[in-house]
Amino acid sequence: MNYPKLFSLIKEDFCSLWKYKMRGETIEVITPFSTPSSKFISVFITKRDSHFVITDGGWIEAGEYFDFETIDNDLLKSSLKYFTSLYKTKIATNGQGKIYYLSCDSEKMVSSNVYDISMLISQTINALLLETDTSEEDHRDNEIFRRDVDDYFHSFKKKNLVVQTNKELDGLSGPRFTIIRRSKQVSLVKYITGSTFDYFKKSLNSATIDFQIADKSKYRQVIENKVAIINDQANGYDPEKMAPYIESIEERIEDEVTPWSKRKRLENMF
Amino acid sequence: MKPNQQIKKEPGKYNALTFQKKFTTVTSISYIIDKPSRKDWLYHTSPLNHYRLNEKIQLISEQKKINHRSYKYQVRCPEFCDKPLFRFDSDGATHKNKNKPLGKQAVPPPHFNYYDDDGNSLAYQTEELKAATDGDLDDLSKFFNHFCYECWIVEPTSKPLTVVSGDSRKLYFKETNNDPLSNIKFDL
Repeated sequence: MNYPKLFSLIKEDFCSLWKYKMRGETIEVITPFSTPSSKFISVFITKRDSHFVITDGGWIEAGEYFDFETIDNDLLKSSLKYFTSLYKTKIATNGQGKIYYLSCDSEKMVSSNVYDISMLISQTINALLLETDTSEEDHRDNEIFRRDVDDYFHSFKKKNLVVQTNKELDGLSGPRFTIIRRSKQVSLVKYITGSTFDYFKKSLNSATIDFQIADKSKYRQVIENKVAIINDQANGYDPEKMAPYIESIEERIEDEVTPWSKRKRLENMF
Repeated sequence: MKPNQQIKKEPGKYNALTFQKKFTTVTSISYIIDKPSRKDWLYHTSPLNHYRLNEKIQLISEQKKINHRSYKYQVRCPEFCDKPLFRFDSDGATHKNKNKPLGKQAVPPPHFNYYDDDGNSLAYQTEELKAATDGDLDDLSKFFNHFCYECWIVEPTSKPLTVVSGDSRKLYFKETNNDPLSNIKFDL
């Protein structure tokens, strides 16, 4: 195998990705660096007097590298805060958003600044999309789980029970439960899931607090059962790591949590 | 980009929604509102009626306020998928087509975006788009009709659809010559 020749081929392919486009007094340099959203990163260079100005062209905030509808603006701000500080970039404005830039007097320093601005864009977008993707996946998984459990409880209506899903108790705003009523008694059910350990932990803690709020309310006397159903098929389910949190919710509900795979035990409860 | 799972699951439906005949009810597009999520874009939306499917399909047109040569046309069907099914970008970032050898992956704008049957987002240029100059992009209607041809949108009359550039309420195009750094003050 002629490895030096292979190296030349790789270098040639990589280098052929560098392209440019003239835009008035500015050159758009299209780099070989790309984002998870399948966009090549562009860096914009212009000259002001004797200074070279190397910028993102305002494209990060303009949403050129992602679908703006799906982005959490606070997340974009926090990613930018971190990476602009890391690369020591300055900020200008185009009236609509911010332009992140570096400047230098020497032509020899332009490449280094192009590299840094490319990394600023790439890393900001990576951080943003990773978090967005994880949160979207979590949201999707939660919805699927919620629908499955809702369907399960709706089947309880056959037993002459009144079932309301994702509902607040009258006069108690905030916590939402699946509420199962039998004459004047109510059973409260929380669904616990998460696509990562952190999301799962958040779901567990939030359920514990919701039960605590219900316990301190006027409903305390009429709560028959408190049920915590945990999605033991979720990616974020790790019984060993979450043992202390499960213990905490079990203390609150005065019962064991119900893994979704063992939901048969609920049939005797209602 | 991760493949779009919904499109990968139902590529036949995606292709039908995107590339089969759809009728528009408007004869001209003029911008009178801002994009709800981005006040720096002008926005127009109207329904498309598929010749046999009942899903609600939208035709969305957008134009950047500070650069009249930067605009997008999209076909969306939110009840099927939260991403645009088909899109034209006059300007913006170069798309990376992962299915090609590295040296051939870059597809600069103006280009069309679509999904293949595995849900991968891909871009392509027709010969007309490859030859487009900045000046050509001033004719918004020309590229709109090209877009309609590519995703089979049929206008209600025999006259081609027109797109009116800009906003009759207020115009403040600031970029000159498609230069995002024109008129920007830098602290040097």
